[in-house]
Amino acid sequence: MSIITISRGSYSMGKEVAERVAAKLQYQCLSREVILDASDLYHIPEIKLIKAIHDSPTILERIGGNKKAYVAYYQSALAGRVREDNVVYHGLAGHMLLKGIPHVLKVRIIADLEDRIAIEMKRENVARQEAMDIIKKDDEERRKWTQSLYGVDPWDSHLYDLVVHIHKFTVDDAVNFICDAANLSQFRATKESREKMNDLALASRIKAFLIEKRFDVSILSEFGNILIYAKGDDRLISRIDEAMKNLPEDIGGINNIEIHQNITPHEKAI
Amino acid sequence: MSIIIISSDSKEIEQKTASLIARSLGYRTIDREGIFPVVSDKYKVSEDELIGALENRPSVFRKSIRQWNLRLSFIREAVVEELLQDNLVCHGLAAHLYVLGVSHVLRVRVLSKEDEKIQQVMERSGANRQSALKILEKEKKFRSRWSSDLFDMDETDSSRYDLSINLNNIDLEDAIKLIEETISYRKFKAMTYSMRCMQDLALVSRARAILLPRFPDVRVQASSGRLIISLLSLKREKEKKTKIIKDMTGNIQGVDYVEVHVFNDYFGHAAQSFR
Repeated sequence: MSIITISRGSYSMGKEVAERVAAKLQYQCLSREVILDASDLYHIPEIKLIKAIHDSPTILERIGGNKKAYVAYYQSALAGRVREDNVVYHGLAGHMLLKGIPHVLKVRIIADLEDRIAIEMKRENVARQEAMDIIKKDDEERRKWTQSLYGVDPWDSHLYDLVVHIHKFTVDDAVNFICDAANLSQFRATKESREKMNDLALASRIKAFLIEKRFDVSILSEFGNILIYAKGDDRLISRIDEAMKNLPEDIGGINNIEIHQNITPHEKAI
Repeated sequence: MSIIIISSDSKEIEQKTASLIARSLGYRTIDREGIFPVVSDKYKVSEDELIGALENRPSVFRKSIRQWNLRLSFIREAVVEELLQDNLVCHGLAAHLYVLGVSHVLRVRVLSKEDEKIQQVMERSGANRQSALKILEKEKKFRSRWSSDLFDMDETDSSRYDLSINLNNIDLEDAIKLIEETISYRKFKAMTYSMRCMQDLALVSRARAILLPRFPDVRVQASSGRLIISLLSLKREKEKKTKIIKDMTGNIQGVDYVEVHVFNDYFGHAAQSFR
């Protein structure tokens, strides 16, 4: 009864590991489904969303905040999908997007550059140098992406509970490690951890709604009590207040809403 | 018949993990307490200087860098000699950075609980939480630079290990169980080839410890008892240096053949001609 996020570089066997963990534990395996959900919910073409969440933000995007909006949509779709537990997610920044949820086991799968180059050469039928360039560019994009949005390096092992190096270890070994770890009591969902997951799903849904209306805000939900942090004058606050009255009906579970003006958001706010 | 190398961002956790695993598996521990007296006695270097080599970076002066490299090569030689045996847990000697390419060695990084680390720094330095976080970040960067300077690899990079376990959410007892289970895999049993690789590492370490005092920029490799040594030298000193190196290393235990490659030192040559 847990959620497993598997972070991986390209050609690091992470997808195979995720699929086999899901099969062994009889969990649902998610990746592209989240993009499809976000695309449906927020009416954005899938291809545009994929590009937006894959490539690191340009200077203009950093100023304009478009990338943040797409990530908010994606986070909302992901949190909505995984709140029912028993899920293996392998895809974009699961460890960051589901941060603070106790029953999320965060795993990173890494592989040697040489092994990755060999797979890329075989799959794409390209020369060694080209394969290496593609992999390095992809790694660099991922690094820039995470650094620009979260200020951390995805290669930092402190972000994960377990990092498994596929070289001496096989995919089967990695699957065994992850399944054993997922069965530890600390990664089993409890009433409290589910409550936190519901709060995250709610906060991310509201954030996506407000970002869609072009409000740059941070949101925290605690037991359904919503704290909105916004930078701006009184007019902006009243506009946010007005927008919140038109929240979609399917966003439920809100007890109370507070809007905080020009104060530093709580560290757990998204 | 296996070797486990433990590395951690916290000395206390590193030591605790290593000793608990060693006790549970009945393995011997290789640590500073056992290695430093041997090195100190053999090479006449004080234990404080050996600690300094593992924990400090040298100053920018060339002599200091040479001394630092030399002390580390002595430590490395003593550690690899020990690792020729089996059923060992090694920690605190940077072995994860130089025991590479040996299949019966499991390299594990254990990351300590963040809150405990912060607490320790706050108690140690009297800093508040924010400053403690900054100190920890600085220490991490220091270790990263230390390992990059010496071994051209970042010890905080998880790709340097077979397995990294974060104790924030995984209990130490569970982490130890996982390591014990892993080391029981057949792939971590010593085989003829993996022992050969370890013996080659030992040859390199022995040769470096002998050569570095006289030839600080020497590069040493080994392959199945064959020692391959390369260095830069002035053209006129090529034959003399080759002979000296062969004399120095020919009698090292386990060496069948010594191959010396001397490359022209163009900068040295230019400097000499301006004198």
